[in-house]
Amino acid sequence: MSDEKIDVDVEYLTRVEGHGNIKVNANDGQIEKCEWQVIETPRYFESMVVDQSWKELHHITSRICGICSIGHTLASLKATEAALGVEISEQDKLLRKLALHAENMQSHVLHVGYLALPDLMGEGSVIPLASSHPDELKTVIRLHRLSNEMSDMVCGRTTHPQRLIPGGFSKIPSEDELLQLQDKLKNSFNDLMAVADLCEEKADKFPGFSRETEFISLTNEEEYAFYEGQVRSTDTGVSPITEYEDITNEYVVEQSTAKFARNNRSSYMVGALARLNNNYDQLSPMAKGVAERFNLKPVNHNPYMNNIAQLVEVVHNVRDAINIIDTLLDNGLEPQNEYYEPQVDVQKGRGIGAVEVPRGILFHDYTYNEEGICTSGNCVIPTNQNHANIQQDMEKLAPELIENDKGEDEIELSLEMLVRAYDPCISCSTHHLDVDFVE
Amino acid sequence: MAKLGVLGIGNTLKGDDGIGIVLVNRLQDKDIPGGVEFHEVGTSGMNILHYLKDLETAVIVDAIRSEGEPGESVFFHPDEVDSDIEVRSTHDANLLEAIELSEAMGERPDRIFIMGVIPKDMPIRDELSPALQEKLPELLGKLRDKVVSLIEEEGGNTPSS
Repeated sequence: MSDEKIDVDVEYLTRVEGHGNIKVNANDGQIEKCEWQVIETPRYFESMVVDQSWKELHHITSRICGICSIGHTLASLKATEAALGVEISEQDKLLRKLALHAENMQSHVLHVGYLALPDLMGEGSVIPLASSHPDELKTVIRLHRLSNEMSDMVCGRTTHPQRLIPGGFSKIPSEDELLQLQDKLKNSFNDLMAVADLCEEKADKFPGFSRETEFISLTNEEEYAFYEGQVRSTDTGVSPITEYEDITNEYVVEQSTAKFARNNRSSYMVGALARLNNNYDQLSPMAKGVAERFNLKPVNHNPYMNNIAQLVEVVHNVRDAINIIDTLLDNGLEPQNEYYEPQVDVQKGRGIGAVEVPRGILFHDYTYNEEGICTSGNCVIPTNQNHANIQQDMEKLAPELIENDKGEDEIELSLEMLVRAYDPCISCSTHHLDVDFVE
Repeated sequence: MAKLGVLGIGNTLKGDDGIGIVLVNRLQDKDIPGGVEFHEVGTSGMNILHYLKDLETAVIVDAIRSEGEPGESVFFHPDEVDSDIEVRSTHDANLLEAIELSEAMGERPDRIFIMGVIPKDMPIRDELSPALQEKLPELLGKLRDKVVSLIEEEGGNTPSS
């Protein structure tokens, strides 16, 4: 065991969404401090939604996150629709599922391709890959563009969707557009397999760490759940989404301004690995084939495998999107006018909406008065549900690394990769540049 | 005319962080001749890469943290910014990294101008600070002048004022 003093102090961890710090101090092999600190300002969800009309909430909440704007829009719409008693058509539900596939693919390709691959390639960022692995990077960029195109087509634009509205869509894509998209999706399998090959080649770079934990996600008897279902925990089984507060149990910790969460144990994990662990049998055969290449089977307790679970899900997203388009075209698209506005009868009530977004299960919860004005709101985001699990992983991993005589640099990289594997979205949404001009 | 795009970056839920979006949306409503594309990029940094690919000239509007008073603005080229500093972006990739990747992939537009505006504050608030609201007409004028001068340089139609 190392008797050296270890001091890992990563401020503003790069290649994650937002501001997080990793602090580990050890002396003579004994950990003195081991903390995952999230220092982003709290986001005051309630103040964003209270006094707003049911017509506006999904537009407002879509801006909480630049990556998960479709997911926030859909969780918001589902909460509003549940509160106001609005039903949507089967066609609209299929189109919404297509939108979620687009977003999941968009986010996972971005994470695996631009943010995790540099670690596997031994590079500090994606930029050097442009010269060291140009073909692979072009493949990643092509897949990312395809997912953007898909969300543009279904939602009206890449981020902050405009066509998703309470009761359905203001505008739907044409059959020709859907066919063209389907062709492109079918042609993307070679690219997907190329990324899988690359990850497989480098899979030994993922630390062989494991810590038993609880996994929570949506589940649905009919399909691998993204859009709808009940909540499943690997520990406590299935419960309705209306019990989300009893599952998420958010609490405040001293080291962080973000909330932490716990259910049956002191922490749980959400996201691609949680979904895969809960719903593996419902993955498409091709996606399962990719999982098998990495020996990824339920229940897998290695958080680094979340990267691979994301890759597996992208394959499933593409496969299922092709099937959805088949169903839509076989049924024939029910035409609707441009700028369509579904009839909604406003009523007093509370509604809860849950969807799976790239980083895990997301809940929106609104109460409306008789005029359809929001009087209270709550939102539980996936990243907050993962913070406690990250902390506990670090508390197990750091001593193991020290015990195995790893140096400070290697400890730092392993901890950084651990946090990045969760793909945390800490700030969900400020963007500014710090600019120093060249003298 | 060469393909010209005006891209707004930021989040309108976070006070002055949304200045880029506000300016691009306001400019879009002005009398700008056809052929200019306007995009609300939002906060997903890497998506800028895909918008840049199809442009020959890009004007990017964003909030910047730099020395100066709230509402002051500056046009600069990405190459003028010290790339060695740790740029603290809150996102998947920051603007400069996306531009660098665009260049490395051979997709960078011939010309990129960044209009940086210094924010007053960026709390959870769906409007600009009074300081920036007061400066809005002036900022919009500057952005419009820049876009119009780029159109003229390319031999395009000049909008009527």
